Amino acid sequence: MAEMIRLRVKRQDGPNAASRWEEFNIPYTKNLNVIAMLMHIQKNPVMANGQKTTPVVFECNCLEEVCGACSMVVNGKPRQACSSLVDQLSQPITLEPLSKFTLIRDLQVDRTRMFENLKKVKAWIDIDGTYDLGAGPRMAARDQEWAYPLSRCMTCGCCAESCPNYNQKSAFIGPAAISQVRLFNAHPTGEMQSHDRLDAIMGEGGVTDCGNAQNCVRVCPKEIPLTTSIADMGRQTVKRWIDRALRS
Amino acid sequence: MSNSNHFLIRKVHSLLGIIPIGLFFAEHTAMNSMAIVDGGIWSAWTSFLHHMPFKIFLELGFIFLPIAFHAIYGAYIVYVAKNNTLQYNYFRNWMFYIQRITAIITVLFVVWHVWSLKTMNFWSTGSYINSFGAYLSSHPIAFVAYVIGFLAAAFHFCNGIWSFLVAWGITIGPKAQNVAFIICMGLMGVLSIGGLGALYSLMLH
Repeated sequence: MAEMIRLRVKRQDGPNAASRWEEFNIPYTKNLNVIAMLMHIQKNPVMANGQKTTPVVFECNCLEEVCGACSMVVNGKPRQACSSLVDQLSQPITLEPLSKFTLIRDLQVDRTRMFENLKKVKAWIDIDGTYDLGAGPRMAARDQEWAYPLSRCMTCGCCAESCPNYNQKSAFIGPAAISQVRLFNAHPTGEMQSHDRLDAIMGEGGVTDCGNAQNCVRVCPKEIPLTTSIADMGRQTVKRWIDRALRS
Repeated sequence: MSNSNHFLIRKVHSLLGIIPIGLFFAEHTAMNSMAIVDGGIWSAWTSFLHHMPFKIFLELGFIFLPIAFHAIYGAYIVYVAKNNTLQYNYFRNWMFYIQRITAIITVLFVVWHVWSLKTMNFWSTGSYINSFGAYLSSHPIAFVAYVIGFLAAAFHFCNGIWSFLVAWGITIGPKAQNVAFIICMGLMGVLSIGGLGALYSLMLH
């Protein structure tokens, strides 16, 4: 008989339902990851005690840690289920939904707040409107080098999940959106809207609401220097604040 | 989002922790540490502060109001955080948590410290240093409260300098932040020698 992997899943039938733990035995296969275990439960929704259950609801998409859809709390830390390899996890493996977002069902949460925050900070580059504006200014290789890692952000929500200041009581937009302000303000075309982005993170829930617990940079699956971005935006917003006041 | 008052309030809260509250704390500790060297210097400095012109306005404007604002808005910041040091057992996360615990201890300590000294009015006894020393040596609980309260305030101030440097974008990278933290904790060590030494020396008076 094949080796069995013990899996504990925190389940909840809806946003207001009570949560419960269910345990599963999953046959081990080479390079098994958390998503494959959840797919196994979908095909055969039977608990370790032999009792039948409903398939565990979860989200996934790219399966290569670039989309951010399969964020969940694996063994107590938020990460991507697709890149959570069983060989590297201690057992029993526990799966919980992200706690900082509205739960839909089981391991599926609504990360809309993350995307709304990207909209608030205008995390995009304005392109041509009704006519061709021509080629934009070039970006120095020196800047490309540090900006590229910031562009790897997939809005997965792990940073927000680990942040003590990102919660239902606070309006904090979280590390990801602040880091995106740094990314788009560094882009020579994006820089043309830099004041709008800085103003957006100078309001309630903006960069000042960071408390420097620095969990975000520890849990980020893309190893984005989030705390460096936040401190840099601290400097840019202070400059903007003084400049705005003295030019008014 | 673009509510500019929020930025102002946060920055004022951050700045007040250094100027004037932090500077006052450093001055207060330096002054008290004179008791280690010589009780006469301590008494002279105390007398100098006591006889400052417009003392009530200086106390209100440079001590009471800044501390009241920092404490009240700070209480809101403490309330809004959802601490998670057990799940995320990281060094900076612990510092974040301890910064909030020491905030509460410091506020309670300062209220008791000011209220008890104002009501006991050692100034009226003629020898402040001897009456305060007698009080410390005969009230071990008060002495322990002073040690705990001082250390909480010293940590909150020094770790606060560290986060001030980050919040104002002075130390941006992780290496700069680590070096700043070592310097801040060095300052806490120096202040602690002065403050705890002062308490011990005053108790012997």
